[in-house]
Amino acid sequence: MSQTTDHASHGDLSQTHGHRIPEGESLRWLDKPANVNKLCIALYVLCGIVIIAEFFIHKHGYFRFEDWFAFHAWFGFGSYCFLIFAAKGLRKLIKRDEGYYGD
Amino acid sequence: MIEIFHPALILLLGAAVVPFLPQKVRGPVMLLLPVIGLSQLWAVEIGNHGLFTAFGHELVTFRVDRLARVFGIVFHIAAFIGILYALHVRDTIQQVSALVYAGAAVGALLAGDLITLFIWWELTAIASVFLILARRTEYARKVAIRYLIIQVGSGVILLAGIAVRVAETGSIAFNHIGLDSPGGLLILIAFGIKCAFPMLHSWLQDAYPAATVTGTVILSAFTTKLAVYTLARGFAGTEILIYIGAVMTAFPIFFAVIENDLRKVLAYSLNNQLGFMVVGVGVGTELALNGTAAHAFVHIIYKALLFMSMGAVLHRVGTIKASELGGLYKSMPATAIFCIIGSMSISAFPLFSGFVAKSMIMSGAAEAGYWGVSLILLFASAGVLDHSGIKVPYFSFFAHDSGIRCKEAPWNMLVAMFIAAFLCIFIGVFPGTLYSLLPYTVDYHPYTGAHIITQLQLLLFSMLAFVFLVRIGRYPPEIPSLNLDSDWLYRRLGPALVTRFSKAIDDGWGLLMGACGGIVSGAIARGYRLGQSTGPVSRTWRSASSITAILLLLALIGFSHYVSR
Repeated sequence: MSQTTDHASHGDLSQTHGHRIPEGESLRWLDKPANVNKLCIALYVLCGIVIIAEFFIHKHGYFRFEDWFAFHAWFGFGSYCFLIFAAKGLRKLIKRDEGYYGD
Repeated sequence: MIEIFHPALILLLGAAVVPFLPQKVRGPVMLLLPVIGLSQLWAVEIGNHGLFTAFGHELVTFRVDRLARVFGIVFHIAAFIGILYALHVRDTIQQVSALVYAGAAVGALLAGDLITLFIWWELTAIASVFLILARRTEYARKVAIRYLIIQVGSGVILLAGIAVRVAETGSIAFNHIGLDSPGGLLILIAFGIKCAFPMLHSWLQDAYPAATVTGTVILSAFTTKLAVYTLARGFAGTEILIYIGAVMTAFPIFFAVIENDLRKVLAYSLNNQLGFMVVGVGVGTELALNGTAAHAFVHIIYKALLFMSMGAVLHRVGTIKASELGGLYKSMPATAIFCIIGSMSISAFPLFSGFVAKSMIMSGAAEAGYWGVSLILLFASAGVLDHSGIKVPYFSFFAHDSGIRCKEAPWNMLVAMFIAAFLCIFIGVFPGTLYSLLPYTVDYHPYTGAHIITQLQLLLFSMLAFVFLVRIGRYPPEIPSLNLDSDWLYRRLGPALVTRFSKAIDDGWGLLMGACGGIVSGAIARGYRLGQSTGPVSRTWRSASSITAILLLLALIGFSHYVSR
């Protein structure tokens, strides 16, 4: 797989630029960026709903921080970003060629 | 009373018979074996059976209690699913080794004493290595040897621990051991190797992705969960396990993010899931141990499902590198759906099996007041969503269309995946069935408003972070590469040190031999010169000088004799 495909597809969830659809095959629903956008919007809406839902539930966490407003939401978002950036840093340290061990 | 047959022996007897059957009937016979085994396990009363005396000790070869039984049930389910998944394989080696391996794992679960445990423990190692060797490549052979050395090594350490224990206490009973009792540390290390503790883990990521398509599914179920069971049996409430487990949940996820081989991603994910179970063992309360057993149960099924879906891709496409895949939902829609069900289960979405099990462990840790560990587990839960929840299905079935068009998975693979997917959802929707099998009475309600909403917040906002990072172009691309892990120590550093050391010995030996050779050849040359026709020895001497020399010699002997008296 060429590197250019990966770069071209960056920043685009539907990754249309990287598509290699065989000739004569029609586009599927998910192949259209507009539809991928719809899915993203659905995710934003769901995120909104679970935040609003917090007003209707009674949280009784084991620790005080669990009761902070939308703690799990921003902790999840933060954890995920930290994980990705830390892993990218780790990749710089430990990435080797596929044939590194000679097999 | 009808005599109950040991479930492990059913599988082993099957393994002995299967090679002599025609290929056509092997499949149905093999499928029947775990069904019979499970029925036997279910029928037997709680208690000790299969007692006999050997080596001067009473062996308990068939102990059934609620802890062993819940693991035994899921082991049989895993064996059934694994065999069904491999039904198209016409390879006697894989068929026999899968049966022996599953049988050995069941035998170890039901072992009531340490000697019986040791025998089965080693058999799991020996039987399972053939699932890697059966790939029949040079690379797989190397991996298999590494795997075997480490697995058998665990057995040797276990044996040492047992020996110390028997010498000190005289007992071979396999109950609570604890770190402070004789041989406890050795036994913990032996269990820890098979449980893939941090720094003892890399055999797992090395071996599982190297096995055959169907072999990995079988491998993923038994060895590590057997180790979790033995830990729960022998080391419940050992506090250090909480911290070991917490590290296990966290560190593999960083590797999983940047790994290109999707079956290896799943191996890292397996390691992370084991961490949750080890934390549960370390906390050691009834809630936490129930959580560990429940999590092992659901994990075996959804991990098998994920490995099956990736195995189906490998089977059809011939590669499992994320950098070469994408868009496969067009060719393998059913596999894609099953994979997503496995992903949602491992990510612990409400209504899926991970949700009703993992939260028991997390509640157990929180209830015991470990706030730091609880935060790590929460972080690791977000991490699970990345590598198993998003990365595995996204890069294989979606992302950019790789242009690969292939057939859907064979029917037997699809049925096996369907059963696993069904169980994932069934347990998620009706957790009571699983809870009724757990070691202790369950007083736990996963479906509270707060639990559902907080879990959805965690997962949905992690997904939001994924979308955000992809949109701003910061999500790491999948690139063909290899990442170093602790196996570097014995695959690169160790051999390099040995090579350097042996070269030093070689050089030193060379110098020594050169010096010795010089002395010897010098002596030979001198002797030769002495003996030459013109040399002092061959020269013609006068009789007088000869007699003088002899007399001097005699005088010397006489004098020394006189002095030494």
